[in-house]
Amino acid sequence: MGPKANAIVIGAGSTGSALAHDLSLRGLRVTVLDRAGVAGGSTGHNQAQLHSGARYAVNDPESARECIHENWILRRILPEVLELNDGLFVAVDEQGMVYRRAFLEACSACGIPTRELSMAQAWSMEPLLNPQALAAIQIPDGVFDPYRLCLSFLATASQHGAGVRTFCEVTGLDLANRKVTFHSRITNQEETLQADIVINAAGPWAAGLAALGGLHVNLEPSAGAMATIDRRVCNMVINKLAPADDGDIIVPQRNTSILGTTSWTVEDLEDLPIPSGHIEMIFKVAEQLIPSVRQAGLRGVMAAVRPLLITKGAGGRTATRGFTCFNHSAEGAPGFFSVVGGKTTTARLMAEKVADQVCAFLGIEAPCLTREFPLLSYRKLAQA
Amino acid sequence: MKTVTVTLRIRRTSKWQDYELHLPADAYVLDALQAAASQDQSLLFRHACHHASCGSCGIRINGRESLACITPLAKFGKSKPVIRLEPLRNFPLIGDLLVDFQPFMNQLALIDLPYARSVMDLPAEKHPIERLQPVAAEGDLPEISPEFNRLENCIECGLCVSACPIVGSDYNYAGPALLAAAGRVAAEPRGRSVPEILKQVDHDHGLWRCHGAFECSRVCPAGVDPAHEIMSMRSRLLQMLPTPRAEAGIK
Amino acid sequence: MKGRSQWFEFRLDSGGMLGFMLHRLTGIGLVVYLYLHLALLNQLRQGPAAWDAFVQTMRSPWVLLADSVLLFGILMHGLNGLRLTLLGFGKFLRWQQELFWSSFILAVVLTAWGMLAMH
Repeated sequence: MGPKANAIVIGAGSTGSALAHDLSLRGLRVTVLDRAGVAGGSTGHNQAQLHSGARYAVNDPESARECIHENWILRRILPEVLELNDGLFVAVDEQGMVYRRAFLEACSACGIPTRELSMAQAWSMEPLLNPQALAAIQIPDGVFDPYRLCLSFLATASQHGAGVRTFCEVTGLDLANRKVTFHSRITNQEETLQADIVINAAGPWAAGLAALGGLHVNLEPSAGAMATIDRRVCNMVINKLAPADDGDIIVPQRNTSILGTTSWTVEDLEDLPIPSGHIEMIFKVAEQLIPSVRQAGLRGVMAAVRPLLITKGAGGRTATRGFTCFNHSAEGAPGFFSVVGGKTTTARLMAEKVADQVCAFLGIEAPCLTREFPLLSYRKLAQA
Repeated sequence: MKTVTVTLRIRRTSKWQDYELHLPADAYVLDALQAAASQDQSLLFRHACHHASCGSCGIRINGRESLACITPLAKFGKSKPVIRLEPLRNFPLIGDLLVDFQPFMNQLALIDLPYARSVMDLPAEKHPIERLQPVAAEGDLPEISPEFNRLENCIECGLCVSACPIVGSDYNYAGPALLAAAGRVAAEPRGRSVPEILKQVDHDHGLWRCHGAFECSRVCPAGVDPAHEIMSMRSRLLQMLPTPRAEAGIK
Repeated sequence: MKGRSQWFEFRLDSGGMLGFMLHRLTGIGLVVYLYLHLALLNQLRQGPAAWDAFVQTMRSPWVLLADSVLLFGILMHGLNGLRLTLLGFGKFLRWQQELFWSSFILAVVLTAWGMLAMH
């Protein structure tokens, strides 16, 4: 029995990879295109935090609920590329203590389990935590490897017939015939693919890609800087207990730690010079949480672009981290969809929602299977 | 912001091509590579995490295996350096700086090292660290280990494989990455049989093929120290040999 | 010979690679010398006069220079061989570079001493 339909997914980051997996499981034949390698965009260099949602509980409870829900699911389907040591929200000043009550109530309302630790317990679990810290609340954060997360979704998808074409840059969108023209950087040839569905999952580049076909997508990309130090200073993800601000997270990963993040609006997606002072600011806040970060060597510095949705009046840090799926039928391009916003923690859910819309459009009865389906090892797909 | 001018001399399959670029002084080779790619979109190379955790940006920089994302331009001197970039050796070449990692991944799949390990190694080891009590567990979740866990050091970047002179000449050699992975399984077996895993690498093209160039450990960006793993396993295997008296059945 | 070009690389900042390369160069050199040595010993069969003439040739400065190179080769290969044996059993791994440079310097010093003795 042949595939139910053909789909092209543009973008091999977390959104595109999860979509390839979901659609393949529903019986579609998927081709993934990306102008770079897997996770060469925002997903690749994000801060690798498997969110419990606690960070969003107070200001963005919808995102928070999605996060905790997906957190449990990812622990089930993706065990191999996760560090599961929970996280702490740590108050280092009075502002934190004031925030504490709202934080606990909001987490409870969103279904995010919390446990207040005594400081003695907290220091015993995290010896390098600031000796002046005032309170510590444990939440189910985790850490992932973004590159291998994408590879795991794609490996499973390819086992179900998906094709992954990396280093293929889309050069044209033919709306009427649902064709995608792209240039393969490997063969140096132009190719055209036709499909029943084309999904733009290109993250911050989604607006530019949609524009190739004269379509419109509401994006407000905002960049953030991070600094990785050469030692692991904690086992749990350490968050500052306070309203969300720059530099307030330390994410351990392997034998290093990632400090971050900041925020600035982005003009040119290809050129992200980190504004001066951002890295220093990151260290300033991080050392409030774990003073010894200053003694570590700097391993690397990176900037990633958040594909934020434009919402009325909001911008930068307070813009929603939710996501939306644009159905371009309204713009005279039936079969074209764009997925915008979101974060890696909720990639599977984004894929589910988009795939539901896609199947509804195609008139296909195909339930989502990704909640329970264990992903294959990332080693099963190196690169296309 | 201070800027520098660098020239990237990149090996394009059968020729060298120069790119003159202007970048912030504190930028990395990967930033330069991305700048070159925005001038010339046909340049093939991989990158993802930008902080030495994914292992995808491994190349040779001035002949030495390195990760482009954590090699600072400042390393090459102040006055208009020319930086030579070549792909990794001992991998099938796709084009420019892009090599095929599938055969390497297939090899690693044979050892099947679980990617999360359960060893803690914080600097302040003198403090008694309380075991993690997970804050919650959903009913049907897999059992969360009460010990802290973390991802393995090895980021499977292939720098060691490229640097090893034996991999270059013996196509059947297991190679440092695979042997180091076996060493890790032997150290933390989690129910697997250690004699079995050692047997898998105890042959002429396995543990005993290494001739001690030690270049693998020198270029490793993640602290894996494959040379140490190889020699430790040799040590262990030799200790496992029965003594002549035992073999003769003498008590 | 594809790939063996990786054996002979002058990575001057890598004691390990230099040791690997020198071990092979000196090893090949010693094998070549062994054949030469046996071939030249054949001179013994030519009788005492030929032998004396042969020995005279061997005292020329060029040959003594070659002998010094040979001496270095023997010392380098031997000392590095000891180093590799220790490292191969997992001993002193952290000092592998220091062990190489020590062997190298010792080989140079002893060769110099030998050259003086020959002079």
